[in-house]
Amino acid sequence: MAITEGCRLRRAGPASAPAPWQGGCPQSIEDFSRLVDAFKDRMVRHAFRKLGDLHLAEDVAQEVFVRTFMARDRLANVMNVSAYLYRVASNLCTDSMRRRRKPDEDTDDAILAAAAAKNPSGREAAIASEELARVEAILRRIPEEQAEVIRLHVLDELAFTDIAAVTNSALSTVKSRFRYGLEKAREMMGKGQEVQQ
Amino acid sequence: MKCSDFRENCPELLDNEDAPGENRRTELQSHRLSCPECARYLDGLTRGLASIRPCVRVSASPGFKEVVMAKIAASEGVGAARPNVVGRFLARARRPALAAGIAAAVIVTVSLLWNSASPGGKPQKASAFSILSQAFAAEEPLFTGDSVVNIVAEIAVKAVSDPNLARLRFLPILVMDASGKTRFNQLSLPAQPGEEYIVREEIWYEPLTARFAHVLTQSGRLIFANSYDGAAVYAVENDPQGVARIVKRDVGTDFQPPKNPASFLGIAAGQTETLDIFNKDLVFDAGKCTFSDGSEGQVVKVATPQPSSGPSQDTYFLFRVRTTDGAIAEMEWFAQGQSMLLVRRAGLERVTTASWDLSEFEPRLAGSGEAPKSSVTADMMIPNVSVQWMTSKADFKTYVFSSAPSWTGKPQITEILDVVAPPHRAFMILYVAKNGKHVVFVQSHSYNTMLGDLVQSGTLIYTSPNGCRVWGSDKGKFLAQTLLGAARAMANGTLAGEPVGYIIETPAGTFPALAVNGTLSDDELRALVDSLIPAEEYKDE
Repeated sequence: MAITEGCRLRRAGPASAPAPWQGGCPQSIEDFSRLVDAFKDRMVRHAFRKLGDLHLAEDVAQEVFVRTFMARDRLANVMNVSAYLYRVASNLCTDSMRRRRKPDEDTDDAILAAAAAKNPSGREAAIASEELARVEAILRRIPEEQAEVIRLHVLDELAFTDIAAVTNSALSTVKSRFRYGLEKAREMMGKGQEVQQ
Repeated sequence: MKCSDFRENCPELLDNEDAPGENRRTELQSHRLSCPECARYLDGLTRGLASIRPCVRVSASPGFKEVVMAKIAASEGVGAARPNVVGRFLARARRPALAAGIAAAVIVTVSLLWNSASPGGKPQKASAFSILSQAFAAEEPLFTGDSVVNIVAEIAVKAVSDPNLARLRFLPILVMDASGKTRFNQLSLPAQPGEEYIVREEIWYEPLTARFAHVLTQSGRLIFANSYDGAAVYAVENDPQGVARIVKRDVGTDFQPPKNPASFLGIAAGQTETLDIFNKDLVFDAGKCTFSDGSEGQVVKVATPQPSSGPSQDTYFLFRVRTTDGAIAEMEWFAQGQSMLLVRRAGLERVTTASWDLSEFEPRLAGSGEAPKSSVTADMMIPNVSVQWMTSKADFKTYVFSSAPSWTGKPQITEILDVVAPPHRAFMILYVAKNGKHVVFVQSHSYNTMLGDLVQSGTLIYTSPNGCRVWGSDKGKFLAQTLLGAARAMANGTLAGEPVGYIIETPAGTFPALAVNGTLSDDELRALVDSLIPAEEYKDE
């Protein structure tokens, strides 16, 4: 796994990457491999955010693409393939979490943490997990509907139009939730600074 | 513009992706400049966003796409509704997965034949599995950077007293040809009882150009060479007189150097994907270890499936992972509890240059004195062969189902080197089922000569009108697990909890093994066996 430097703060706000895919689900293997290129990082990030485990996140992200390819016939007329990918990823993450809750498959956190501390990719995962935990601590204090829009836009890099499709909401609603969520995050920051002062 | 309009549209100003048109943006910016209240509001949102935006983020691993395309290729085999749509990708992306299957198949063969005490170890499942998985991943950074990496490893063939064990040592070795195809050859490492020796492996890899050189020597004599100098591939080939030469071939237009050098040249080359095949229940935490340089490590044991009754197998790998860098420092293969082989990373350094032209090594192919014990056999496995190919290559009578089982797709046949009895060839026929109830049918010279004994202690389940007998055994589930495990990379699925395995005794006196990933009714078993015909009578559906 590679960690890349994250988004920088810019004067007008951090810019997201351009929409990675325009059009429907590719039907040929060549086009599909381009779709994988366009979304692989986003799918892994989305799954990692939900699962907190890079290894599982990669597995889930791979499965998302395999399932999408197998379903490409019926997706030929689906114009928003991005929203479809995120929906499949979310469902697979839910399945994975359900399986992990079984007692006999519990992971030994201590050993995993030790393994993470041992090698570069493990360390990177630990740093990324720590960062996600920090962000999540803020989002937990924001109404869930607003927090989820922020997660999808900021962490998963979905465009507002895609979020509207994924959450079955109106575009204006999505933008409002995003704005109100940021207002609350700003309020929390202010309170935190007041406490520190 | 009203303040409420401005605030509703603030998200657009925060994000270029959903940026408004130029006119709209100008309008919003004008309002911002003229309304301090709204400017403060936008600043507040910007700071709120900054507090939430993570400063680091993960991305997909370097081999992610290749794994996806390989899985797609495997899935595409189901039903074969789209002939060869992924054919081009099969040649490249799928081969590593096939190698994994073959590696497991090899273990299967060996573990079928050897019995001894039960392996110990405390199962840690996901934890030990994660350590090993991350150790494989830790190989990748070794093959990055601006300079040439030079890795030296020692393959120590250990002294064992059993002559059968002594002669059966081997490792998979990957070689790239001028078309860019990766071939799976076998490094045979036989020895006399009590004899031991060391094979030295040296690798050079230049990340910026993907040039590589890979050389194996024993007592100074060259036994394997493969390199890519940016324009041509060098490899050892036999000339028409049977004399080994280093041959240079210019690469083709489709040539691509190894996409993942760690899985091609790393310490566990050809085995990285094997991890996907092993059931996590077979991966154990085997405690700590101390290396010869005093550094510490973690030992992970990867066992083979155990029979549900009778003597358990004691065939397994130990991977010793160095604590300091999380990478695999040693890999050791055990059978009957005895160490068979130890692969140890002996050195790693960065150098400024290397010789990619291996012609200079040619004199070391001949050398003087006793010929090396070790040797490389080409094509440890060949995927996707036809029934006709199988009949032409097999030196025993082969069988095939006259039609694919009703619940599966068409057969996929893989030719494998019969490691127990080289140079005989073995054939694994896999019928992939959409519902996961895959069928695997394996035929080999070594099965024909050795499974007959197992039949003697088994139970006759059914005799088909075609003369084939079906034998069950207390090792049936074990047999099924191992064969299905070998095929799993190609079947792209999980192993059923209760797979079934049988040995078939054919009228020709051969003993193929049959495994099904799931339960099989009496009718289904009878229909399956009744449809067995000599392969030379097979007509493609």
